[in-house]
Amino acid sequence: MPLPDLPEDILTAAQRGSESAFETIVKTYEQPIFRYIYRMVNRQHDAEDLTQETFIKAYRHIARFDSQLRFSTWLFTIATRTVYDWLRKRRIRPEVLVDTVPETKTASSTYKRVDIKLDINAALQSIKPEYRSVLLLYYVEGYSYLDIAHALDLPVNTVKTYVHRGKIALRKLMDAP
Amino acid sequence: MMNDQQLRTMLTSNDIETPATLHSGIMRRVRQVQRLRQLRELGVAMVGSFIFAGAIVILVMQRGIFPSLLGTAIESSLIEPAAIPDFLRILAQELSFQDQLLFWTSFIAILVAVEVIQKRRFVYSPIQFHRNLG
Repeated sequence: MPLPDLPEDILTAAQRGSESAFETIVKTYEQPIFRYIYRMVNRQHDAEDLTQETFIKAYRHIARFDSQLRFSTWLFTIATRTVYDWLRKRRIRPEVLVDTVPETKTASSTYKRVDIKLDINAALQSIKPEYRSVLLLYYVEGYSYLDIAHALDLPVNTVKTYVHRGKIALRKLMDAP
Repeated sequence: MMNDQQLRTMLTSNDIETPATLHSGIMRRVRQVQRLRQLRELGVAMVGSFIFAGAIVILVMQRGIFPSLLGTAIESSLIEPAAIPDFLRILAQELSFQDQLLFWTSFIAILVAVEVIQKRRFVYSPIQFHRNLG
């Protein structure tokens, strides 16, 4: 199930600059946002920095938040963009682009498959960040395709494709013989 | 081959502990941003007020043309709003282009300053503070 939304008066107060209201928001969402970011970057210290960055961006732009939308979705949007920016700046590329693993079972591809047998965390880090974020939002946070499409500004069909491809990519890594 | 349920279980299986310093770290940075924002807005309000005050000083003390217009402005805007077009016409006739530019720039500056001050007073008024707490 997606995270519950906050009472409207808390949001309104935070939009008017109330620090105590914003602190309530932080208390409510810091854990899920941190866990999401941690799973995206797999580094404790960086995940902490990026979580702080996410909430600071939310604080700066909260006046622009449209209260018709789901607040948690908006926060995940900021978190995802913050992580993407960080990955881009750090030029972190997945070590194994699973999309490119050939389907045919030649001797070399079998060897590669054995070599990349990974646990779930390592496997997550090895797939494209776009697939990773969509898989986490769908399977861990419990958002619908539509919610994810809104959060990541993607067409719903693209979200479905990413979930499908991400799942296949993970399975390839996890089911390696 | 794992199914969706297995995948979900695996993805959520590893328990991630939130660092104890996370909350205080976020709130410390929020307060820093808040202080910077207050300083910036105060700066805008002060600059606006200084520009307006400077314009008044120039118009009244140096050129000696402003008091009658100021009187008309007060009359127009406070006593008889219908007289505002007349005031604008007098302003256009009496003041040179430079003076008009100065007048309107300072007028906009003071509007911005008032807007900023109003916003700050609203946000930090005791009533609002208690409402936020409540």
